[in-house]
Amino acid sequence: MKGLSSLQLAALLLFAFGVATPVHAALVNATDVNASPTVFEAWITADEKDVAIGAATAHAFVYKDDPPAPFLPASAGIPGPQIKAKVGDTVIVHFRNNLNTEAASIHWHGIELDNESDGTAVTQDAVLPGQSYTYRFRIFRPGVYWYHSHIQPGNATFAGMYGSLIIDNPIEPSLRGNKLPTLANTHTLVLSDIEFDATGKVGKGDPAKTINELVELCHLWAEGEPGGDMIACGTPGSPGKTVLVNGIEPAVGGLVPKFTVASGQRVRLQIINAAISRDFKLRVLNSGDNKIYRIGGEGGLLDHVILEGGVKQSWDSLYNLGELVIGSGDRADVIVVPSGGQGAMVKLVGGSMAVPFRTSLGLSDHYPLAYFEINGTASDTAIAVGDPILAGTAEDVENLKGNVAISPLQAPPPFGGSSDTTIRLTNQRPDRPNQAPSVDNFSAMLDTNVGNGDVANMPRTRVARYARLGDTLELSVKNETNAVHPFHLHGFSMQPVRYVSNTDGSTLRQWEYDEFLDEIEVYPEQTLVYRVRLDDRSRICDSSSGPNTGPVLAPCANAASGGAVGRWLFHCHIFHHAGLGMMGEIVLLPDLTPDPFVFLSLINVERSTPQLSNVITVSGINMAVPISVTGGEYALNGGSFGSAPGTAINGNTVQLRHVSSPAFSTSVTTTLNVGAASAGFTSTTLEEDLVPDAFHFIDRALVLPLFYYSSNTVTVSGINSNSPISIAGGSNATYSVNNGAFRRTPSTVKNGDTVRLRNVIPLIDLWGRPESVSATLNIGGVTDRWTISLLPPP
Amino acid sequence: MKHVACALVATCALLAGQAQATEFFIDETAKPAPVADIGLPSGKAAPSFTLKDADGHPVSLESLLGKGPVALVFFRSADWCGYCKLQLTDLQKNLPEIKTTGAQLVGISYDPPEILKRFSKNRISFPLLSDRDSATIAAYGVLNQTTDPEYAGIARHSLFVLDSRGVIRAKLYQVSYAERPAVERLLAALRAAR
Repeated sequence: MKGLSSLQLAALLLFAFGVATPVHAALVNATDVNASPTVFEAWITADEKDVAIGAATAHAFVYKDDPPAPFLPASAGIPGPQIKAKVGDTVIVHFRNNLNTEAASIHWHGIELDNESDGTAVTQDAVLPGQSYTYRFRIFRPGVYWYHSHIQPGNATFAGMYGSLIIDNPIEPSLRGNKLPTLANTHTLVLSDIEFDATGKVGKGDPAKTINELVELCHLWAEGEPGGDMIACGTPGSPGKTVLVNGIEPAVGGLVPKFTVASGQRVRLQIINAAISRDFKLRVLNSGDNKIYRIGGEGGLLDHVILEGGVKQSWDSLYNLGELVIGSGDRADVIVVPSGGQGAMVKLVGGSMAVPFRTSLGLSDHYPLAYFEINGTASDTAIAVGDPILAGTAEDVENLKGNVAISPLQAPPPFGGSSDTTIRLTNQRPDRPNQAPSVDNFSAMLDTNVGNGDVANMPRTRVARYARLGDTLELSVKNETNAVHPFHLHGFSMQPVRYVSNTDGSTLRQWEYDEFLDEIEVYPEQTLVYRVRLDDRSRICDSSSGPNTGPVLAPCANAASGGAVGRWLFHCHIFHHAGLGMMGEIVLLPDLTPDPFVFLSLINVERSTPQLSNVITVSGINMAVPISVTGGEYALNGGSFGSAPGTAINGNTVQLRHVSSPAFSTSVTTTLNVGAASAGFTSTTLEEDLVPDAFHFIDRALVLPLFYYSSNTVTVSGINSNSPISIAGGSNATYSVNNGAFRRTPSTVKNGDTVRLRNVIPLIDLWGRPESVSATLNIGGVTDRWTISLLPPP
Repeated sequence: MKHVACALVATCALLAGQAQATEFFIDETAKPAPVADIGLPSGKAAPSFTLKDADGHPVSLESLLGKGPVALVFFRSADWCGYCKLQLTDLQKNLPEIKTTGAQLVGISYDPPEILKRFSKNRISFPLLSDRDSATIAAYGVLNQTTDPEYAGIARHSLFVLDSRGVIRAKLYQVSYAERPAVERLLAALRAAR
């Protein structure tokens, strides 16, 4: 590069100064007490605190940064402290509940984590006031996330108990400054709303009824119980009266929250909807380019820049292209480009969605959310739809929509469940007195337990789906109601495939790009089809010295696998709907039965000798399982042999060993038990063989009488046991084994023994015929006759 | 009462068929089941009972009477009903204050004693009684007869306040006793029954 022209220099200077400066809108960061660059460890306490909202004071519930000394806590308020981490990091959060009466937890919304850290009433006990719980998980997907309680969370969340959680993609730093705005021009906006009465009590109405009270009153009405109140069912349509942006009420007069930004500067906003029901329809006003460019959100960055809104194929979003609607719990990662003359005020505003896709009633159009005051000009490259972000990089978003093997749901266990891949969001309940939010016409009450062990009693409902680890599922969510439902799945990110019309089954929209989301809007009379791969993950257990008070932790061993096993809720993210029963679960059952394994039998083995089996590999399990052996020893992963029970995980190799029987034709079996599977390794000793190979004694002629003659020596072969040996013939015939004494009495020989014979022609035979003597040696039934004779050979 | 007005506006708009898709609870074709007052009325003598507690020991109404008022909490289940379990733990939290009125507090459901034991162990110190055949639940007029067969025999949730002579003096239908006003209502009813 040659020298900069004065024009370029001016542009650079303006660029340097053209940083969007927030006014009263910055979030505080949680204090990381861990020195490791790959561990984020924080202490977060749920607390009650009076918080100024505009000119009034609300009795808020907050998550506050609460590190041990010597660390100083960041200031507490709404929202809770922001957590920033990156893919691969381990997050440890020590949570304590200091609320007066409410049970609580932390649900890490959207994070694919160890089941025990999901923070729901089916994964842990409610953390009662005074109790604590430690969350531990490793992060493997980037994106914009948030956290909130999942134990009857309506009260706490509406009262301010939520925080943002931003996970960077590892390549993000390399994209900043070109494809992405700089960190200085990147801001988190936590959108929400709140309502409180004159005493500061958070809830709906004056005097305020809390959200949980309203849920209960509606529930009683729905069940036909006395004391119920149908009016209480209307809460979702009536959003909190005061909008909050990063805990601040956007004020027209004070123009807060306000960012000072150079004209044409690209500003990245990581937007979180933490409201319990409100749908935010976002729009930019007064800028040269009023479009909101979406670059990512719940599952990290996209491959290319897109615009939301407008008509996509046959699917009408019912809002304008370049606007953005996010429902309760949704997040978006966007770029806006405020521009205008010096001092101009560009606005980010909310508005009302069109019927029938409207959730919140009574919203005005263009209610303010944030201001961007123009100061100077920037030389940023203009952004355009289709600009590559992750496309062409190693982080290109995976496509699950194509030719991927799809697995069916598993048959539910005897206590109930469904294997229907269509999850119906319903309002009608034919077997109950009144309507209520439900799944498959059943209201599953899974958003709380009473703590101290009650998690084990959480009902297993008829709407639960069961699946295997590692499977890819294609599931449908069919909205049979007349309201919009942001469908949230815990623990696994979904890839949207298409929207289908409930009326005629036609495809309204086939997803044009690849994205992973933990929440997807399902509109009235429409069905969402999505795919999800049930990836396993490590289990990270609480190894801290101090036990958690209260919540019962399942016995846990750190393991490379099995973290995805457990109960994962899905539900409408409008808190009222979820609390009333529009909730279900996908259960990943622990698979403790390995694929069958076989040990080859050994036959004809030597007796009393060590015998080794073939090596098998344990497969098909997703949890550590007990391993034990009877009648022998085993070696795990090539280690030493032993017989003490242990544990095995997927991929372990096992070899067995035993000593063969000391007896012939006898089997020894060693049985290996791995989880619910077992197999035997058998060796059988060879048969007893007493019949030797043929042997031959060479006859002799022209021998002298009265002289003792010995035969040649034969070696006994072909037997494997002591074989009987005897000699028959003249009374002088004897045999010798291994050059021992000559004998006539029977005995035994073994393989390899040598035998020779001795005989004599006595004098008396000179007068008789024949002039020879013979002896027959019999070993195990095999005989040979040995003759010595006076005469020459014939 | 702004909230009620607001919610009413929403509901009215729905019933008038205007914004039929914005509020998903009440559709025009559905007729909400009327919820009338249920159970024996105030002034009636409370039906006698002898039921097993979580440990299997018999507890009679007579054994509870005479010392002060009695609160009978009919709940659906300590097994599958989360709201009921919350109600019972809330009442447990407020038990010291309830005791100051001289009252006895007793829960009654169709659950077998084993279920009551599992739930109440280290959690609930007042007696939970097992009405396996739902005879007592029916005698108080709070048997839910509209439920599906899976839940046959469950009580409608209700709380009867009896005076020390065994006469019904009040009925309450609150579920949550975490909130102060609800506790106050119960305490007031118990004091009035002394």
